[in-house]
Amino acid sequence: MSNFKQMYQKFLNLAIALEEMSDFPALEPVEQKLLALLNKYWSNKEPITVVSAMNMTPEISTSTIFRYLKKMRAKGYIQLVVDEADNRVKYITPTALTESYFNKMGKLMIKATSE
Amino acid sequence: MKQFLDDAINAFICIIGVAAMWVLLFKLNMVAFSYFETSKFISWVFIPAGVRLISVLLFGFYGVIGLFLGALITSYQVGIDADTAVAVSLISAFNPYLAINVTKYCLKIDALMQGLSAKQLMTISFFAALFSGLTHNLYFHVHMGTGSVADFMNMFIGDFIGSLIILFAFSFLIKWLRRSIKLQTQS
Repeated sequence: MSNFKQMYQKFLNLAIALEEMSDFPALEPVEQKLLALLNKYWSNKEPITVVSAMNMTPEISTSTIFRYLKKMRAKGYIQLVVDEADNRVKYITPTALTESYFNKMGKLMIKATSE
Repeated sequence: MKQFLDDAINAFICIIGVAAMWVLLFKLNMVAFSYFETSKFISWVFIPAGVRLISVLLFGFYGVIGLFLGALITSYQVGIDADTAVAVSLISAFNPYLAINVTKYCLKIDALMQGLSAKQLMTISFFAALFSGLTHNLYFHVHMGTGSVADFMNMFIGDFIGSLIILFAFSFLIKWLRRSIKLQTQS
């Protein structure tokens, strides 16, 4: 009966959401790449605007980057800060979640190399 | 015919499983969180609310029937009359179904909950707790003259905290299971 098949599919989707509760919100590969690219600017203390971020890499189209930036913002990985002089300009800045994410990645990398 | 029988057995297992889980967690709540109880029906921590949420999300209407049976059993145990027990059990079983489906519709979550995020799950549990507090206390106020805004807030917070406890418990359980399965396959 399709009802029980649906129950199983619901269970799998619920399990993913539940797992996410005690972990970081899942990042898609494109989001991981964008976060890594953005981190280059953040580590050099260079401000990065949304428009510049949309042209960060030629590998991904500007509209796709914009779409993913919106998703990353919804997941809490980035925040937008409006420029004080020109409110049309918005800077992308990291959040506390981004810091924890990179910290965890660093620890995992060390663990993986030691194994 | 065999298929029909199989489905009927599976549905029965779902219903009995949900009812048993409700009764079990209700008892556990009475033992572990008795300090937080403010009345027969209201507590600052109410973990069976998590069963409401998960059973309705997973089993839909079977979950509602299971919750009704479970709530009926526990209502009798807290010593209330039959009419009130049936009414409170109906409210307890149907309100998560309505709240969850309305919230799913508003958040544009499909029937299979594809792409459901932790944030959305928390939002669903928030509104399910809110609706539970509202409907229960409305009934208590109209039929028993006891429900108040303070009771509503108390029940809403209790249900929300209870749901979060169960959701996080499941979250850690899934993580632990994944880790142990991974370790078993590695060794």
